[in-house]
Amino acid sequence: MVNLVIKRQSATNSVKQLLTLSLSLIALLTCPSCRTKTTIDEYQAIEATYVTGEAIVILGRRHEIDRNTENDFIACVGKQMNDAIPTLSVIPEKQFVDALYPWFEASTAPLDMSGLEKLLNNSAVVRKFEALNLRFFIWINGFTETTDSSGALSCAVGPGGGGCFGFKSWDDEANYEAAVWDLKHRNVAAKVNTGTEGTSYVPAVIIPVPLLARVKAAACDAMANQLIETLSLADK
Amino acid sequence: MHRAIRFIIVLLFALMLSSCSSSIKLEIQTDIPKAAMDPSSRKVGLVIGPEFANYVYRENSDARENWEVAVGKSQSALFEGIFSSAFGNVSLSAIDSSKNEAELVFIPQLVEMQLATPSETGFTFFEAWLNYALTIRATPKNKTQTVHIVAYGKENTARFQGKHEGLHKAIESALRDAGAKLTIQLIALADDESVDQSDGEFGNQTAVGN
Repeated sequence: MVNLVIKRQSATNSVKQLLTLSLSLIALLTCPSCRTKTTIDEYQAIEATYVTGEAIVILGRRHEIDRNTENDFIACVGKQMNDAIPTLSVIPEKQFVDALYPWFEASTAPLDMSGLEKLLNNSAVVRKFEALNLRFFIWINGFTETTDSSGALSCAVGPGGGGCFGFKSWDDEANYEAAVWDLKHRNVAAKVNTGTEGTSYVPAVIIPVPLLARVKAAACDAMANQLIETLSLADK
Repeated sequence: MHRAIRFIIVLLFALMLSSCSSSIKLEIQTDIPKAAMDPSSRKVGLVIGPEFANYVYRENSDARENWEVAVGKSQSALFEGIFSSAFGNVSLSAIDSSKNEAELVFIPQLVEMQLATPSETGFTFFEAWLNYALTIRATPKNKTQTVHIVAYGKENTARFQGKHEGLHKAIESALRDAGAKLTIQLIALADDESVDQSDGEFGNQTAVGN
């Protein structure tokens, strides 16, 4: 009797595993739109050159009431640039904002070059910039949002086990704009726009199989790569 | 075996119930840096009274059962830090004394604090508002003025982030904003020589913030 129950359970588990595997395979093969699509625009006003050892800081715009540029996006772009350009020092956003407190808070950060000019009248701020060997500010404004979703998933748990059933999909859009401010020449050196979109799917028969479009990560890659191309080393 | 499963189910159920409770008890801990500025040579006094130093926001309603948010310690540290950055000579006291030899004496008071959660507003972030009344007394002629500093902070909702953490970060952000607006106000006052020389009430009553 016990053997029979065990056999029946293992048969059920095998069916479950087979179902999940088949579903994943079908979903992977039929999901080309899980990929993301990115559009990049760039405007370069002047050549943005730097010398070895100079630093940049990447800052998120957070002055709007309902939308904030995400901290993780800023950290992602910063990490990619830091890894790609060893001759340029990337100051972490939190470290910079704390060192320059309170001049780069949401309510006090300069919104344009004239705001930065005013800030440069503060000798304590100028000393901090010099100590950091700061050359470029990169201001990033934008966010990732879910624009549409459809379908439904429902899950249930009982004494005999649990599972999910259904199908859900959603569209994500990531739009970011970066402005490169040259502190030495006191002007806007370049602007970069990236727009990324993608659709994610979660089919579920007993086990949900998420097929996610990595929209924010793709936007981060695109933005970082374009910014890396925008900046060039003067003394190579 | 069955006992262990039953125990786990009861434990999970208790955890689920506790997470649904609307009770909140928070002590705000912040690490707000000193302001990057050159201090003024003015001799000023800062009065941090016990009410300010031990301020606890309390609310007990159907929607907000036993909410207690202690901000006194953090706001005292914030004001002390900003004043020591803005002025080279700050005398700190717990009571306002007429014997204070400082040119200007500042007495902060938290007159209003408001909090909002995403479940209440429908937004995707926690919010905090702080309204400070800063009474400034110019000692030679004992003239006073009150300046209002209105600060705002928000924190986006995040996966696995509870109400406590969201509110804590929103209040921390509001305190940073208060520090920023206080700094701007103090720079204006430090540059304004008429503050302690005018015969009448100096300046206009100003509200800093949104």
